[in-house]
Amino acid sequence: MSGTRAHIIGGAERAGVVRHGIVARMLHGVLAYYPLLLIAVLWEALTAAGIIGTDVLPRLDAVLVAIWRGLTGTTLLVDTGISLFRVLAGLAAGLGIGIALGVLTGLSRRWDAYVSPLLIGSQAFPRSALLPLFIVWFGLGEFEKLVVITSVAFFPVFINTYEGLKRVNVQHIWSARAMGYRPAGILLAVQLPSTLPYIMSGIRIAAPTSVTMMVVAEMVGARSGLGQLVITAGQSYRFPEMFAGVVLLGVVGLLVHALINMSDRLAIPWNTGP
Amino acid sequence: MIAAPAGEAGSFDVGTAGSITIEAVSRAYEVKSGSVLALENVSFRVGAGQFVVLIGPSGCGKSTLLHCIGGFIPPTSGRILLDGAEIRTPGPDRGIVFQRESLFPWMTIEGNLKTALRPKRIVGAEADRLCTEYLGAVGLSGFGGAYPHQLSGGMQQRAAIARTLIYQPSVLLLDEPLGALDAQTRELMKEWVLDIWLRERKTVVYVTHDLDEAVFLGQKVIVLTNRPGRVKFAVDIALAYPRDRRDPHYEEVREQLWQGIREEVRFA
Repeated sequence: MSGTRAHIIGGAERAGVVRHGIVARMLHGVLAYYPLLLIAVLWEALTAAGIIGTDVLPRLDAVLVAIWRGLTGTTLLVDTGISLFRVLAGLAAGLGIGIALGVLTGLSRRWDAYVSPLLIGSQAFPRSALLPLFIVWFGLGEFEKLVVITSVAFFPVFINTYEGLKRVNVQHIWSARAMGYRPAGILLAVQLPSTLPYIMSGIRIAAPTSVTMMVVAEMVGARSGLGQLVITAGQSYRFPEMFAGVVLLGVVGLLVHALINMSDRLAIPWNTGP
Repeated sequence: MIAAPAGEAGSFDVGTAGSITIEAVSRAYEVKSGSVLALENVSFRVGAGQFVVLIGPSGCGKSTLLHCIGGFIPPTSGRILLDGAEIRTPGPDRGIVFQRESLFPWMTIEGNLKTALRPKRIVGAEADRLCTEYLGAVGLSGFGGAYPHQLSGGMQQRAAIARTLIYQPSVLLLDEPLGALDAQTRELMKEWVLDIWLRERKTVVYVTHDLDEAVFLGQKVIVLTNRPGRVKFAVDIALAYPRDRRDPHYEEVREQLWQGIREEVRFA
C-alpha cells in the first residue's frame, strides 16, 4: 500500500502497513494528521507575530485555554454532550423513519407512487428556511431539535433503502422462497440484510448534514449546545470561546463519523473482505 | 405417478417422490418491441430419482424452463406437475442452486444452512446436528464459521448444494452449477455431483451447455433448439456409473449430442 493513501483522515489505520514495525506504524499514524498540525502551527505563528490581528483570528493558545477552561468548568463539556446527543438522536430517528419509508416504497408500487414524490419534493425546501415554522409548531424544546435534524437525516437513508431493495439479488429471493419463506420472512431474512450496506452509506451521507442542521437549530433557538455557544460568544466578541465552540463542533463531527465507522464494521462484517 | 428411470440406473434405488411432468409449456417475455418466445410447447417427463440434463445453445431457454419448474416464473401456457400436482409457487420440495452467488454473503456458511432450516422450525441442537452432518457430507467440516467470500468457487457451490439438501427437497434444480468454476475444479466437481446424487437419490434437473457434463452425469439428456426452445431430441444414456470416457459408447453419445447442438449454435 502506498503512503499517499494514508493522507486521508481515517486512512491511517486502514493503510495499516502491516510489514512495518509498531514504531513506523505510529509515526505513520501521526504523519497522517500533519496537515492539521501544519494549520495549527501556521495559526499560532501568524497570530503571535501579529500578521493576523486577534480581532480576526484569536491566538490558538487562547482558544486552547478557552477549551480547557470550558471543559474543566463543565459547561463546554455539557454543551458538547448535548450537541452530540441531539445529532445522534436525529440520526437514529432518521435511520428508523428512512428504513420504514424505504421499505414501504421499495416493496409497494402503490405506496411508491403515493409517497415518493412527496418525500422527494420535501427536499426541495431548505429545511433551515422552515425553522421558524418548526419553532411555531414544536416550540424551542428538544422535540423541535429532533424534528429539524430528523427531517434531513431520514432522506439519504430512505433513498438508499429504496435503491438497495431494488438491487437485491433475485437468486437470493428465489432461494429463500424455495426454502419456504413468506414475504415477511424474506424481508427480514434476505432483503433487509442485503440492503444493509446501502442503509449504512445512507446514514454516512446523512451525518454531516445532520450536524449542520443541529448547529442551525441551536443557533436559532436554544439555551444549550455548541451552536448556541458559538453564536452568543460571537455576538459578544468573545472570540476564543467562539473558536473553542467551532473546534468542538469539529470534534462532534469526527465522533459521529467514528461511531458510524464502528457500527459499519459491526453491522456488515462480510463487507470487509478477506 | 412414478415413471421408471430411462436407461440402466446402476446400483441405486429410485426414490418415491419427485416425478416431474412438463406439459406443453411455453413461456414468452415482454420486451419493449413486443413479446419474445423463450420456450415453445415443451413436453417431457422426469422420473422420481432420475438425473435429467437440459442442454442447448445459450439463450435457448433451458434456464427459463428450470425456473418454471422451480415455480419462480409461471409458464405462459401449459403446465408443470410435481408428483401429479400442478406447480404454481416455489416450495421446499424443490431446491435450487445457481451458477454462482446462491449463498447469502451476509452470513456464515452455518448461518446459511440454518436459514434454510428455519421455515421448517428446526432450530437449536437439532439444527446444529444437521449443519455438522451436511457440512461433513459435502466435505466442508470446519468451514461453518467462514463467510462465502472466504471460500473457493468449488467450495461455495458445495456449500450451496448442502444448503439445499439440508431441507430435504425431493427435486434438485441445478442451473449450470459448475459453469463458473475453473476447468480442473469442474472435473472434480462432476464426480462429486455424481456421488451426491447416488447417495441422496433425488430427482435432479441439471442445466448445462457442457457436453461432457451431460454425458458423464445424465440418465436422460434433453437437447433444446435455439430460441424459442423446443425439445429437439432426448437421449437415454444406458451406461453404468461411474462412466468411463474411453468407452466407445460414451464417445458415440457425445458425438450424437454435439451434432444436435451444433445445428442450433449460431455464431454471434
